[in-house]
Amino acid sequence: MPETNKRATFLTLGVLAFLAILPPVALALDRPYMVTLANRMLVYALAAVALDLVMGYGRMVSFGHAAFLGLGAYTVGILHHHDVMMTPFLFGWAGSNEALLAWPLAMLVAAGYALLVGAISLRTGGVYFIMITLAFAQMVFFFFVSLIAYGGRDGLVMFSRNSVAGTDILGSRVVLYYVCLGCLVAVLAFLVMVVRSRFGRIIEGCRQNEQRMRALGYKPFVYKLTAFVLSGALAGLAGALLANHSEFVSPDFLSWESSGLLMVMVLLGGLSTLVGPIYGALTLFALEEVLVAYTPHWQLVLGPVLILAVLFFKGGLYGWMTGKRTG
Amino acid sequence: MTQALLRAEGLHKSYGGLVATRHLDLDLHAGEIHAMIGPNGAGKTTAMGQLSGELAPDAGRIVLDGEDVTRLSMPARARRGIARSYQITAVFEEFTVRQNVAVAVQAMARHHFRMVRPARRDPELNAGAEEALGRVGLLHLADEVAADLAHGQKRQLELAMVLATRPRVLLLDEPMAGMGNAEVDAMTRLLEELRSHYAILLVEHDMDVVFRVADRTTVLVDGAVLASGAPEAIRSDARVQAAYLEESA
Repeated sequence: MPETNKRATFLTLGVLAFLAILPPVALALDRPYMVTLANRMLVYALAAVALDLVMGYGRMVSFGHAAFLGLGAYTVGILHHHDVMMTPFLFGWAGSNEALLAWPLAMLVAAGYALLVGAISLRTGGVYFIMITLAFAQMVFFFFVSLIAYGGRDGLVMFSRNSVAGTDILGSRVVLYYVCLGCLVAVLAFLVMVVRSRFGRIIEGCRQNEQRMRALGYKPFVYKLTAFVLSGALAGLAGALLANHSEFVSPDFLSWESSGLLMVMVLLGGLSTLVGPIYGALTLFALEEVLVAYTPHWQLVLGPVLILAVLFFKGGLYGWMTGKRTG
Repeated sequence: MTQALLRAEGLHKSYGGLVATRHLDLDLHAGEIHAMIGPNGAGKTTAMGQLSGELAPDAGRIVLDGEDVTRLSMPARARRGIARSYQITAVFEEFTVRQNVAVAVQAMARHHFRMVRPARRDPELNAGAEEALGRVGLLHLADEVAADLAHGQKRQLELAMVLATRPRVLLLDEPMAGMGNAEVDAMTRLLEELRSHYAILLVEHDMDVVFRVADRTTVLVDGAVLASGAPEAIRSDARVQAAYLEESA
């Protein structure tokens, strides 16, 4: 549980401050692509923080979180597509390019899917849970691959970013960046509150000893499912942001590699810390950026780095930097 | 005596060819400690599992205060006042002692979906937790992480969790297993204090404890009741001596 630890608070504020001043600095240094890269990192960090709620606090190891991301992105992409093409989407509705409508809908779609997947897969645990969440995510992946009307394998191009209350402020890359950063900070603050609450304590109790929770009168399934749906909805929000960032949605967003990447971010940054996954995402994107300059086979270097990190930093980067052992 | 608070009628459970519970009748009254003894493999824990709802009996029924609870799940029975502790210590190792009991308090306090206020500073949960910890004499360790407790202290903590759910029926599965002499003595005195407030079913191997605290004793052998009655009568029962006491001596 993220506790009030001066060093941890200092580090977290430091990272957030760094992210806050990044765009003006990158632009001053004439490196606008840094903003793009960092924005992508923010979006994945948001999904990884959401994953930590279930993976870290509830020990529900979901290997299918990219599906929530992808569903969020496709919701935004498809609504945009119909809006631009002026073709009816559902019941004569021609879609929408409005963020205030499309983003909540993206979260709702992801939440609905999470409810379905959770209701089935939470009846299992351990390795079975990992495999079932992966299987569901692969189903969604192949669904979109075969959905020719929305680009199939090639994905769907967005001709503009979403409008916000009718304005096109997201047209500015810097504005979009700060919107993403705002969402990340808001989600982080919300989840820190959730894990410290009565509900959060139940989730942690279920992780430690489900049988004991039943004997006390709790029905673990209900709370685990709620956490799973919450996590899915927030990953769906990340997907909506990803669509706007990329101005493109693709089945690649839903690939199992993408799910794996989110898990790596959580593990590398620090399981059950919520803040840790942000460190994980930052490190992973930075490593990729540095290594890719030397070799196209950068993952060959990344692999061992990850293995060593997971082996030697038990509490992830966050635990290592704050001197805390968690997870 | 008044009507039984918890009653089992004709409980029967078998695993393949092995009969674990054989047409078991058992009753438990408020204000009494009913000890269940028997050699290893007699089916004591299996019987307890059926009373608490972890295991479903093949036949028979379980009645709590006039209500048939045979088909109710363990959480549902827990909310109706049946609390159990485990033979193998089951506490939340990563939580502090206070948090362990607070989770138990919260089980009855509801508001499980409250996601706003921090549970750590929840006065309702902490007050209830501290009261239960005070009763078992563990309040001074409230801020320790449960994993750091000594074995005997974990057993006390488990009892505090059971009490914190404000139950009517306590199903205690060897609460003194693995305890030292002084701890056994303290726990025995605690059970005597608790007697008047609850209906307690106690599975225990320590015969001195059983004869000291039990109002009634039931001897289980091969899943069936061999004898049941006052401890003195049980102690002098020839069949019991043959089947159990001498064997374990």
